Amino acid sequence: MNLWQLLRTPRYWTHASLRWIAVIVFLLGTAAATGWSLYATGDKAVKGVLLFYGVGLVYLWSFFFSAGLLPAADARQLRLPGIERQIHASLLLYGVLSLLLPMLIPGITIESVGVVLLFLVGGVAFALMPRYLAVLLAMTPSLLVVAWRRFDLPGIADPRFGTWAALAALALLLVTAWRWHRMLRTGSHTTNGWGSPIVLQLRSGSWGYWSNIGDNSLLRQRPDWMQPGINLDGAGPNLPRKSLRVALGGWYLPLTARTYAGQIGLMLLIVALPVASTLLLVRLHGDGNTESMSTLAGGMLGVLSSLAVMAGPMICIFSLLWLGRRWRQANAEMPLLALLPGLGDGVLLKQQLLRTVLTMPLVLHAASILILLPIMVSLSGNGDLSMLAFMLLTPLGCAGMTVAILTNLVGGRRLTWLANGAIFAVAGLLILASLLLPALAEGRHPVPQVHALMPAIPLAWLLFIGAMVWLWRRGWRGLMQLPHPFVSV
Amino acid sequence: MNAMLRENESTAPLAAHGLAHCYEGSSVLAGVDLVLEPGSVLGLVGRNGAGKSTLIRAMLGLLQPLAGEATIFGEPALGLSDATKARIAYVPQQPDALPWLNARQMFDFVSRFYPRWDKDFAKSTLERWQIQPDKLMAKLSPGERQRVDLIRALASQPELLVLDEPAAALDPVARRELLREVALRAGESGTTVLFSTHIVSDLERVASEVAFLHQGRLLMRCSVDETKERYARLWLPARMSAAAPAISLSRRRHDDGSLSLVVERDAQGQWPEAAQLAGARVDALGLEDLFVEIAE
Repeated sequence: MNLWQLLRTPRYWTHASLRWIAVIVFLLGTAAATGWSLYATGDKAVKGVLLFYGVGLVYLWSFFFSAGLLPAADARQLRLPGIERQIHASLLLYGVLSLLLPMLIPGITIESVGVVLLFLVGGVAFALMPRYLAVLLAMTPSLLVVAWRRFDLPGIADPRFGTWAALAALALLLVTAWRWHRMLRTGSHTTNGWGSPIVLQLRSGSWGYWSNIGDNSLLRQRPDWMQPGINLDGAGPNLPRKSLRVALGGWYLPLTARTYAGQIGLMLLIVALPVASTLLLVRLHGDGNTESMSTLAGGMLGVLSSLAVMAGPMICIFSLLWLGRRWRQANAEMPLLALLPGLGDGVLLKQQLLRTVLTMPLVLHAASILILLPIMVSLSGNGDLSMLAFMLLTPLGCAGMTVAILTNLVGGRRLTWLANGAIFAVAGLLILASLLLPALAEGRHPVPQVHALMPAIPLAWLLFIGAMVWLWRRGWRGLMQLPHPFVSV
Repeated sequence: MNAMLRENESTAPLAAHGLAHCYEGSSVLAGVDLVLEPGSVLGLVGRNGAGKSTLIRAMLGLLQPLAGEATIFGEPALGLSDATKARIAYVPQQPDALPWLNARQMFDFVSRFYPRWDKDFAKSTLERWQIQPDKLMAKLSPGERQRVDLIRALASQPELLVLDEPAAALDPVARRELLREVALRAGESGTTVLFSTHIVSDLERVASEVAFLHQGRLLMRCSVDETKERYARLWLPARMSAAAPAISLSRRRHDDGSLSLVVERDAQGQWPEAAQLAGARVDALGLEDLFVEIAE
């Protein structure tokens, strides 16, 4: 076990894409920290450097180095203590390097080691924490800010913070080590649903959670009390569309009223947590400063509208991955549906299948528009009308994308990963442009040059929607040419 | 006579003519013809990748073949009516349908589509095979899922039962029970059965006919009882290899130059002439040996 071997060991822990993303994020953070140290001075420089470097470090240890647990647990199960030792030695080496590296940046002293250690251990702790705790992370920043101000804690650049951070890091290190040891003993293949750590998801591949969509493993992980109540009332030959929903599964499943209520309640709770924490922040820090309150309110609107806009491609990707798996499996629902009597046949069945496949994603796209509407109305009071139009274009464009891609899938003309990737990339660029350009053109500090680019956005969206119409027609023709909609071609 | 044959064929439970298909340029089926008589139990044997599953899927209209056609009870497999669908049951290899339902929900859902659904059979068999009806399908073992799907297929009381490697994930006890059930259905209800398998002993237990599929071609088809009488291994020493018959099911030359061939009796029940030569040897073949000889 020499130094070169130890340095190379993490190379084998994760998929290449995950590794590269983590390394690039870390390098960007380090570069930003170095750049910041050259331009800023005093406390501001230290604070900026630690934050930039810290973000990169947290990412690196959350999504790359923490994955060392997986081969270490495998090695333990295979009775290969040498490999296990090598992994731990490699982690120790990279840990020391991570702590020492920022010392090379001007302005950072040995007192900051505690802060860096806190970032490092925080990253590993995040990867090892049960997944249900990740939901609560949404409110952590707000609570930290509140706690800081309420209890008058020292700032990150304050020398006292170093001592506090070192103590906190040591405490967290103990908990993390205990959790790590426990996972080593139980093995990395154990699945205990929402209680399982985030790091287990890294085994699934470069797509992480996404590559599991449509897979039985997610169903297996879900505890019984979380299984949705399925409403089979009326399903059968008399209600072919409801029957198709049962057969397609996922978010197509007809659920009982109680399950729907529970799911909506959970969603509201997830949305309510950051809102509540923000309100708490405003209340605790309520010094009558209307500017800070309006900044907070604006921030909330921004987060909500961004989420609603980003939901567009997510709805499309989820539908594609879920249904793609259903259509790909020769031993699952397709043969069952193809031979199920009473569903009808011919064009009617094809139309019903397409309507069933498209309805749920389109309802969700409509819901994202409904979330955007009140935000748009509140913004229109400020006269930012162009922003509204752009915000509306994004869910409409994404809905078109969903219809086109899914129709091709159902019509036996599934697009290649390259084609889908290109469509998502174009849509992503258009969404970013639609969000950023109006904000730059008409925000608090407008950039006059951006105004000239504004007409290009609706034009680009129209072109995109035109392309989606052509693509939809291709899928529709394919569907009409199929002898029956469940045939494999 | 021909007209009668064609009529029989056109209403046969399952018939395929010239089925051809390929995946990514490599041929999987090369013009397969196969007709199942009503009430017959046909075992389809072949090595991995021989094209068994593809043939079954093409015959059932689950796959659009590149050439040829398949009919089920006289209807094109790619355009079956509801009435015909109600007469068919199919269990794919390692079934994985509706994993978000439990067995009870699955049977409740599927039963609504089949007018002759045998609810009591489904319930009692589920109990007999010790499968928890309220456990999610995704959480069942592969063998349990296969058994649930077999019950689903049998409870619809089909006239044509198609099973793709039905015993692959089953333990020996469950396999025996399944074979008993299949034999019972075929014997008492006249159900026509097509099943693919690697396990040749299963064929001997239940099949009335056997078909060998090799590299996308149907090499032979005959009744199970007939195979021992009809086929044999002909061994010829090196000096006689020139006398080997031109037509044989398989031909293998050994290191010492001797030749092994799988040969068939002719219409008069005679082995090829080379079998009469001094030094030539004719060995009877069991079903498994025959399969190995042909597939190797």
